[in-house]
Amino acid sequence: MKPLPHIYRVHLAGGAGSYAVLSDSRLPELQTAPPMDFDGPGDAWSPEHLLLAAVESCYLFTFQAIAHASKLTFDSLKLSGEGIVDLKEGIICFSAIVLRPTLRLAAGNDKDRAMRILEKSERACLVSASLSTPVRLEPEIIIG
Amino acid sequence: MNERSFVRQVAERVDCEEHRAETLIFAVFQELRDRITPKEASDVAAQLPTSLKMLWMSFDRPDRKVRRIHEGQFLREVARMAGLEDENAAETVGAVFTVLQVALGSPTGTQGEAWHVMSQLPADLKKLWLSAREMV
Repeated sequence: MKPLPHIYRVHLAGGAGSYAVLSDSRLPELQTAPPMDFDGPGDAWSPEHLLLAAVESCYLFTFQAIAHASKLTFDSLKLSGEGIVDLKEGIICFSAIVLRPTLRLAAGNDKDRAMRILEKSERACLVSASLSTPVRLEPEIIIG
Repeated sequence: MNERSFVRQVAERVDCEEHRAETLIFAVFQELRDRITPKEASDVAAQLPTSLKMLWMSFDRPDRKVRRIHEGQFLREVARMAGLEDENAAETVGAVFTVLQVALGSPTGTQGEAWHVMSQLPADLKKLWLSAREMV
């Protein structure tokens, strides 16, 4: 890891219509729009989807790093995430995020150890740590 | 003390391969670091060689709270993280504590930075920290 602080920049260009384009000089452009729940077209990544995507991808990369440091080998990790947007103290916000990682391990692996690393990854994920929304983990481990 | 020497000494004490010792060191480091304040953890890191500093500081956050756990849970968490039987966790933790104290320049575990670490531990973990010196 490079010394802190790390600085990230994203550019956004939009007009009067629903769509806007996210970009950075070294990344592919990404079209974004409001979600259908907010009368958006529903065929582009919404800010709500992007936030969930950030939580999920950060969790996956954190897990990979901790598994590597712990020398835990695994076959795959798939994640599904669910975010609930609701009224909370008069403000519309994400009231909860649920992460459902499914970890596949080769036979002979220690399931409890893998669970500990899944749990630790949630605590160590910097995106989750930056949110006030509680993130709940519902992990599943498949062996063999 | 450099990283290889640290790993070798732990491997010898636990009687395992060096590859395995790295896993054990990571598990103990992470649990001990989370048991002390971020400031204290940073002070410990400053005295470790670069690669060990990475194992010690990885996945830490400056705003985290101290995990106020006692010896039983500490040993169970290390055992879970490292894939150890519970009954072998104390020996492993003792071995890493011993070598860490030497790396911090305090083979007794009661001087300098080692003392600062010890002072943040609850009585039962202090005892474990101090019993490590008997293994030197």
